[in-house]
Amino acid sequence: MGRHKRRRMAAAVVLWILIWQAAAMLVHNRILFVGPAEVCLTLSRLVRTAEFWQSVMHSSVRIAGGFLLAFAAGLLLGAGAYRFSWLREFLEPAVLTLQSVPVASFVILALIWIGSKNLAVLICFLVVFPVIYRNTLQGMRAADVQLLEMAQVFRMSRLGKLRYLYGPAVLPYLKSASHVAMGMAWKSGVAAEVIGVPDLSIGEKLYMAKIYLSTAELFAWTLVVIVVSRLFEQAFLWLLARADVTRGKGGNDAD
Amino acid sequence: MPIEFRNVSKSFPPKDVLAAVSFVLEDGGIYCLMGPSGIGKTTLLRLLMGLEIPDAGEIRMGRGQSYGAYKKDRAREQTYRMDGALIAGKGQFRTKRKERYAAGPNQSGQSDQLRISAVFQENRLLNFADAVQNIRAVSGKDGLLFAPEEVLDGMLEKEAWRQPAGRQSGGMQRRVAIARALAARSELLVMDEPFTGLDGAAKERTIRKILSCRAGRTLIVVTHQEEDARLLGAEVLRL
Repeated sequence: MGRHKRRRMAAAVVLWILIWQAAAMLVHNRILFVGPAEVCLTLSRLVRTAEFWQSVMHSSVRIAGGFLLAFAAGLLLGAGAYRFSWLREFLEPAVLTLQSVPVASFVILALIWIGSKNLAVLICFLVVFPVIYRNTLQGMRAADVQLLEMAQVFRMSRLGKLRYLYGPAVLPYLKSASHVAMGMAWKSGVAAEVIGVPDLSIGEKLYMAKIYLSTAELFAWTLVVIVVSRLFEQAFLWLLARADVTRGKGGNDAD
Repeated sequence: MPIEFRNVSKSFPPKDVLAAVSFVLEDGGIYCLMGPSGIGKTTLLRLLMGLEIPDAGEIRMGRGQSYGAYKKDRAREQTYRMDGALIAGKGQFRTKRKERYAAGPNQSGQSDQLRISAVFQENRLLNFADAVQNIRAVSGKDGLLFAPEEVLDGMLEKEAWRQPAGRQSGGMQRRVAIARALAARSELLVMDEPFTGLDGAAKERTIRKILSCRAGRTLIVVTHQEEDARLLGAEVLRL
């Protein structure tokens, strides 16, 4: 983004915040709507409590944990499904089911099975897995056929093929998939917590905000979710970029 | 162990590409495969590399390793599959090597089969990797026959050794592809029009390098120019 463009973007954001504040002053009802000033005030009060940090930690650990487990499983099974068509055929109905069943149904079922404490881990896993699985499979298929023939003739080892051919093919897919999946993980993870209300979690805090009709807290916690999920997303993409052997050297398509 | 083609036929319907081709490549020989465009030179090399299987006939590669149309039905089925795969851009390499080299007394796996290194019609380099890394990438468990620096020396300007292949010129990439084939451990060198994009001086240097790094391996080169055959001291096979 150019400097000029960025400045205009920032101006637009500032303008919207002003509109937000003006709207809040117009409505003048702390239950129906709160402005940015009020949200900031509430947030600054929240961050001074230990409970705030405990809740953020609780939810972060579980959501990130579920994401990482799903990432590992999706990568492994995606690669396996590429190699063995029977595995792909076997998994297809399960993956389709995961993608079609509403998250809320899973949440209820998970509450019955495992209770609320680690609910977010399971829900994030179920939401993230299909995304990573499908993208891994697609990425492997995108590996260059000519290079694969080359590797076959030169008898490149399995590890070599993974590192030089499949890895570079899969990574761009994983990057965009992680970007999407991390957002989904946080949204569905927090939604699950709102339904399950585990002690000391972001979801519980949102639920409490509803009970006490504290719109300011609802807004403040929403802001927290957005910021923390962005942080996690950036951290994970940074990690992925470290694993990229083609970093800054263009792709791997044969000429 | 000479390599023998016996009445090998291959067609990509509706076109018959090779019809009952027979020849022998003696151990350690240098051969130039010549003939007009579209006559099947590349197909012949692909058969040699085991990337295609013949519709009829037999290819013998010493040590009892041979493959051909014994299982004719299966061969046909695979031909169609591979043909379709070529268009779809996938699946071709999925037919197992074991199946390709079906029959023949020796089925004990890869280690006994003739080892081949190749320069394809395209460069087929890892674009993100530099010249040295591209060569190292094909190093087997027993390492390379020549160090990357050794093969690149005199063939490619030193400044280009550490450049990602994707940023090199076509001529540079071609020479890296040739260096890679020379450096890999193999018993047969297969080169499909290796000198495309190389001007006179670069070509002569490359030919000298090929000859000095051939290390007694059988070499088969597809080319359009008689001069190449002369410079390589090759026997000419015409299709």
